[in-house]
Amino acid sequence: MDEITLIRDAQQGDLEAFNRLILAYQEMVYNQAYRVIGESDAAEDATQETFISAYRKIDSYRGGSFKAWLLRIVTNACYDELRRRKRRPVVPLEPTDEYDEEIESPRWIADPGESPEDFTLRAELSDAIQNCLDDLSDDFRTVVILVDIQGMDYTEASQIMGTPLGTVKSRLARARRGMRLCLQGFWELLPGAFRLENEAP
Amino acid sequence: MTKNISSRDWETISAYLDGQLSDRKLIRFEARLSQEPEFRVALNELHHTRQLLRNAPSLRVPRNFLLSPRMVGNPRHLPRLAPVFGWTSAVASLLLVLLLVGDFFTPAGVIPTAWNNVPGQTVPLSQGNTEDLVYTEAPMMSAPALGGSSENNDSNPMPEAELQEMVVTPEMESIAAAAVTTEEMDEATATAQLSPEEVPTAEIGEEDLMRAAESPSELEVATPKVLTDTTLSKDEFASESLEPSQTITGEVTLNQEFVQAEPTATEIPTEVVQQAEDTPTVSGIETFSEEEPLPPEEKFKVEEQTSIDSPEPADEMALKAAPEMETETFVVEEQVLDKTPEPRKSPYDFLAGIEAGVILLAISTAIAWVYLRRRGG
Repeated sequence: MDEITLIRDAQQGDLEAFNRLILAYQEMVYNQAYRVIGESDAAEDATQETFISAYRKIDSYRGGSFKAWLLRIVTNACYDELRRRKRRPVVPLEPTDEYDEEIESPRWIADPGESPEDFTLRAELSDAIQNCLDDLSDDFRTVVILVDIQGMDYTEASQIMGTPLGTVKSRLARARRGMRLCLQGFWELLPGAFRLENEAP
Repeated sequence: MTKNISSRDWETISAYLDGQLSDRKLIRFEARLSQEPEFRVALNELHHTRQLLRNAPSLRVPRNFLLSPRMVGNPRHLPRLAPVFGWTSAVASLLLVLLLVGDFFTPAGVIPTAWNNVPGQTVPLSQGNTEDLVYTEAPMMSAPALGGSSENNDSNPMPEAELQEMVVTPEMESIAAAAVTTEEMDEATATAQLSPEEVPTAEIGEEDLMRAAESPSELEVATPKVLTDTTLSKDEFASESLEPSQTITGEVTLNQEFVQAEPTATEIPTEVVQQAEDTPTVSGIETFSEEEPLPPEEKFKVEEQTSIDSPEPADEMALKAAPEMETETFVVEEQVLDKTPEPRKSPYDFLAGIEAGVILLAISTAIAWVYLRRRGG
C-alpha cells in the first residue's frame, strides 16, 4: 500500500494505517529530535508527541512531502522542549551498562549486523557531530540538520522553519562554518574514511 | 588561509555547494574561484563538512512509537459533531445580530402602545369619548402642572388626552380639601386653585379647615376612602402603610391662595356630601386599584374618572390649575415600589427572553465546537 493511500486512510480515522506510516518515518523523526535536542529521552518523548500530534492534525495535511510535514511538527516539538529546558534546566541521564558504568555510545545506535570496529567508528563520528551541533544555536543547528542530515532543500527548510529563504541560506552558511571549525578538532579522531579529501563539489 | 573571506563569500560558497546560485552569480563565482586559491580551500573545507554531516550515522529508534486508540483518545467520533455545533453557533450568532439590529431600529414605544390598546387593559375615561383611550406614558419623576387653559396646552408637554384623564370633579376636590388640616397644608406647599366660575360651591375657607382639623370624624363619614388617600400630606403619605389597593399616587396641587383666602363657603354643601355618601367608591379609582394594580411606570398617574352623577358635565367641572401655581410632587416612589404588585408582562419580556436564549445558544454551541475541534485535533 502506497503512502498516499495510507495517509488517506489515516485521514478517515484508520489508526492502523497511520501506524504503518509511523513505522516508515519513526527513525527519521527520532533522529531529527535527537540531533536537535541532543538527549535521547527527550528525543523519545518529542518523537511520541510528534506522532500523536500528527495523527490529530492529519486532516490539515494538504498533500506535498509527508516527510517535510512530519519534520515541521517534530521541529516545533523540539523547540517546545528546548524552551522548556531553558526555563527548567535538566541534567540528562547518561546510559549505563549492567555495572552501572556510563556508556559513551548508546546501545540503540548499534547495528546488529556490523562489526565492533564499524560500530565504534560510527559511534565516534556520531558523537563528534552531535558535540559540534550542540555548540550551535538552536536555529543554526536546526537548519544544518534539516539540509545536511535530513537532505531537505532550501525551500523545504524554509517552510519547515517558517523563515524566509534568504535567512535559511545565510544561517546554513554560518552553521557550516561553525561545524567546519568544530570538526577540525576531531580530524585526528575521525577514521580515515571521513577525513578531508580533495574531491570536487 | 581562509581568514580573508567575508561572511557574504562564505554564504556564496555554501550556496554554490548546494547549486543555489543563479547563472550570473555562478559565472562570477567561478571566475573568482579560479583566481583566488583561498576560495578553493574554503570550498573544499565546507564540502568536506557537508559530507560528514550527510554521512552522519542514523540513530536507531529505541522503541516503536506506534499509537494506540487510548493514546489518541479516539478522536474520530467526536469531530463529526463539531460541524453541527459550528453551524448552530453561526446561525445563532446571525440570529442574535438580527435581533439586536431589530431592537436598534425599532421605534421606542411602538410595542407598548399596541400592548396597552388591548381591551381590558385601560380604563375608559368617559362614555362616548373613546378616542381618549390612547395610552400615554405617565411622567416618572415629576408630573407637569395641569394646563388651565386651552392656550396653555401648546406649551404643556402633557398630552391633551392625559389632561382629560386627570379631570377632577369639584365635589371630589372639595371633599379632599376638607380633609386636609392647616398644618398639613403648610407642610406640603402644594397649592390648588379652583376656578370660582367653574366650581363656585367647592371653595372651602380656612375656617372650614380649622373645623375639619378639630373634628375630622365628621368629614370622614362623608369622605370616600380613596379620596381620603389623595389628601394625605407628604409625611403621612411616606409613613402610611398603604395596602396595595390604596396605592393612590399622583400629584395634588393645591392653591396656596386657597388656604389664605377669605372664606367664601362656611361648610361643605350638603348635596356634595350626600353625593359622596351615595357613591361610596369612585369607579375609575376602584377599577385600577383593586382589579389592576398599577405597574411601576404608571404609579404617578392618577386616573380619576368619576361616575358621580354630577349636575354639571365633567369638562366644565374640571379643575383648572393656574400656570403660576406652585406644585409639589409627592415622592413616594420607594414606598409604592415596595407595595406595588408584580408588573404585568409585556412583549418586551418575551423578546428579551428570546434574545437571552439565542445568546446562550450561540455561546454554548461555540464552546462545544471549539472543544470538539481541540479534542479531535
